[in-house]
Amino acid sequence: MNKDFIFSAESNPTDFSLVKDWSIGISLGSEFASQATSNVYAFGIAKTFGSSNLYFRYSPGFFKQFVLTKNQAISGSDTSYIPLKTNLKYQEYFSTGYSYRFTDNLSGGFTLRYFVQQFSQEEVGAVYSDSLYLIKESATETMKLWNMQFGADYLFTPSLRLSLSASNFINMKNGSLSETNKAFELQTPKNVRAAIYTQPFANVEVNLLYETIKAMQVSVGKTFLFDKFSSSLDCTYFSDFSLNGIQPSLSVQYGNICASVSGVIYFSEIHKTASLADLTSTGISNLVNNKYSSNKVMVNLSYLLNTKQEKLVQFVDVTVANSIFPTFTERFVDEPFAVARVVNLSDKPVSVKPSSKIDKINSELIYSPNVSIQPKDTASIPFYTVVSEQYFSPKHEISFANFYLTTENRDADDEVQKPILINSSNAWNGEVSNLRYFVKKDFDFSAITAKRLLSKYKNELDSANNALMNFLQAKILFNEIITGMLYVADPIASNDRVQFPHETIDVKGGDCDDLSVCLASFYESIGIQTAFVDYRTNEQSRHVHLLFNTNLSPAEANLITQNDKKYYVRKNSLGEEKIWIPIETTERSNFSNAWEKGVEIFSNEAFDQLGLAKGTVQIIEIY
Amino acid sequence: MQNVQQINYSMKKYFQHIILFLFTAYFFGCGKPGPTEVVNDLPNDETPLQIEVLAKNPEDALYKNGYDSTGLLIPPPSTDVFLFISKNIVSQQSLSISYDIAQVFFFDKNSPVILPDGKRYGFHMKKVIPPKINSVQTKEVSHIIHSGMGSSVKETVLGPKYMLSRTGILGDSLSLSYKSLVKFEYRKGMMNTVPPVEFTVEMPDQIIGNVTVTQNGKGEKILLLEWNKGTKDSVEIIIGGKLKSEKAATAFFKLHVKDNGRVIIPPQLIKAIPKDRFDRLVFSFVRNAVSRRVEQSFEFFTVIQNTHSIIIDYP
Repeated sequence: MNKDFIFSAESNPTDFSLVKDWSIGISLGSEFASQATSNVYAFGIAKTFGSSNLYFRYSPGFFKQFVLTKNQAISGSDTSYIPLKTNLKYQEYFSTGYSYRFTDNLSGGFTLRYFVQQFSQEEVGAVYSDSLYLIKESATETMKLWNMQFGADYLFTPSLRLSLSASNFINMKNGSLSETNKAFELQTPKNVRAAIYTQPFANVEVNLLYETIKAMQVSVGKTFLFDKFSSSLDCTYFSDFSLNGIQPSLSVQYGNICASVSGVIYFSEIHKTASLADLTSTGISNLVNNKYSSNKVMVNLSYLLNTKQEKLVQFVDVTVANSIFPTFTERFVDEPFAVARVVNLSDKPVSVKPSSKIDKINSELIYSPNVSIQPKDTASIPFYTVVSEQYFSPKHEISFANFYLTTENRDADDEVQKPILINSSNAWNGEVSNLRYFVKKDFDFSAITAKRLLSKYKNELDSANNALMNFLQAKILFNEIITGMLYVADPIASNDRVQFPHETIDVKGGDCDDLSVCLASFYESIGIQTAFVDYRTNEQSRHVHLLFNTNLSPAEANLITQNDKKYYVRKNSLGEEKIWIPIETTERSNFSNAWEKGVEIFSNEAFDQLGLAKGTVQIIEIY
Repeated sequence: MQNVQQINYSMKKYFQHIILFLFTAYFFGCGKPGPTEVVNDLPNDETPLQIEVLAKNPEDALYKNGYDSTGLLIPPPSTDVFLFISKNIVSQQSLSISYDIAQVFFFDKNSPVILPDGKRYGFHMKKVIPPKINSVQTKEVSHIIHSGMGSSVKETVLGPKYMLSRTGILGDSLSLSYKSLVKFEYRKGMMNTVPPVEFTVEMPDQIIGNVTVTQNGKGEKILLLEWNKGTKDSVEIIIGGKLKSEKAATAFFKLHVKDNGRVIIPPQLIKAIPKDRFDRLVFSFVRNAVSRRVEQSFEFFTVIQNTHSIIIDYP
């Protein structure tokens, strides 16, 4: 926030374009002249309308008065003595301005300042009525002056701004002055002002200003950020042809309110009285800051009356990293589907709450974890989503995703909409690790169907060795489900579609991933632990079949086979060694042949060709 | 509903803050910076000038006493003896008349004068042995003043005064010269055992004035008064008015002016004098010397002056 907008009319006619909505400011000051006085210097108000800004300042404190005692006086018979005086009053009543933001970098504007100069010469007059007495009469001449300043700002970067302004090239006067009073007229030298506002380091500002009337200012300031407020400390050195000094300032901003205390300390000689010769030759051009001014203390209060919220953060860009595979319901909880670059526009740290809503997928906003961004910094923010398990679509479609950034403001600071591809529910990205989602999708169906199928073998299972339960159930289910199925490759590409188990049952066929998913779903639904074996070439999956846990210990292996090459020992989560056997699901003749085939393929590729070691064979747990 | 409540709360908060602002401004910003005094260090031709009203009630005849075309106005001083010596020139158009006068008043402090209208006006005078001015014995004359307005003008006899006067070459043997001493002698008694009160006073340099009607930058008629510079710090200029039909003039203003030879009369002073009442203006240039002394327990107040009065038509 431009905390000093109330003095913008002096230095930069476009400066109040930094006001976001409404801004009210008041400046109070005390001047330590021969007698310290305090008064309201100025009261200002600014309002932003779109790209336009209007500004008005009432300035009762922009006032300078001189009094010259004449050589004439009225004396009374009682030796009273009343000298006659010449009063010179200069007042800037108000100023008004307009600025316009042409682009995000360029703004221009102007101010009009209204001055009234009043010169009163006291003269002796007389009244002849019932009595004769002398009176003081004032012969007053007034000159009104409209002074125009115009300027432009260019923002090279957020930390570098150039400002140019010109004043006194256009002045409109109303009134006339006698030759005597013309000498006291307010000086209006043509002036061009150039200023650079920079932020060379974080929270450090350095400003330079130069005027063609041989005046300059150098200002250095630092902002300190705290939890709920910020504070700035800065000091300005100023100098022109007649005076120089410093203006230290301390300001505090809390919420919408900014208060600052500053002092003006003159190094040059302070003239408590004015020389008439000097006043008529050089005059004054600045009512508040001239060689007849005294040291001052000023208190500025600014209040942001934002009826619209100030945007704290903004999207730089959003990249949708992945299309949506609706069946991968849990994947996008851990893996973002989109990443946005977000910039903090404010000068304080902001906690951003990102959220998104994908049309047709989400019925409400999905919030992603908060991210804190430092002032003026840019951060990458991941967006996560959740797909409902009830969602099903047989075809791919293009939808759109809305991304939102919410901060402390009530409404979102920024929002962006991006197109997104929602794949069909059967779509698969070719990663065997994602086949687990298809396994889980139809669990209810698989469980019911498995139990129904196994119930036909109740007597056999009840009389069997309990240790063989997994093995026997796996064998039964394979024979009931897979045996007799057709091997059918995917119609278009082999890796972009997977059938759900009930679909595989319905169509009575599928490819290796369909059959593996179907069988794994049935096995898992009755508690048989399974894993996919992924055979890869050139880092792409080429074939998949199953491994399942017989739950037999190595010592019990002989219950199912005497050939120790037909099984593999793996440790479970408790560290116990269990026997796992591979099943080639595309071998649909019977369980035994599928087991044989599985052993053949697994043994060859995983061990003989060192597939496990090279990574061309991967075992992927479903859970 | 919740949003409306939030808005109401926000507006209420805004107004509270604004009120706080205004109170702060009101209590903090009462004063106004005082003016900066300007010291006049420029050479200028503006003559230092003090203006005093003499005739507070111009209609009262009181203000025509002792002020006539000679330009004298004698308010009664508070003293035992008042010695007034004046050498006067009156000019009107191309005609000038000289008029010398010396007056001595011995006041009876026990006898104040109360005018018919109840005003207090100094003290009655008492009869004494006539003093001498430049060795010429003064003559005893009753001092009468007029007061009141219109048909209510009354005469009041204040007592004897001792005077010498000379108009041109006619009158008493009063010989007054510029820049010369005038001797005053007074015997309290006829017996020579009491030494006389004697002292001299010096007549100032002659003052010769000139009145010019001109215009200022605004086209207003202004009066430029000029005179010969003297050695005094200041001179007095008395401005009065008179009708052609009247002998006595009314003194309005007394100007105390630095003796640098020039002053412009503020136009408003002249404008105030009603043209329907006065068709002539009288400007009396006065260069005087005033002193107080105590001689033989008499407190003397002495005014010795020379004047130049110029009568012009109302411009």
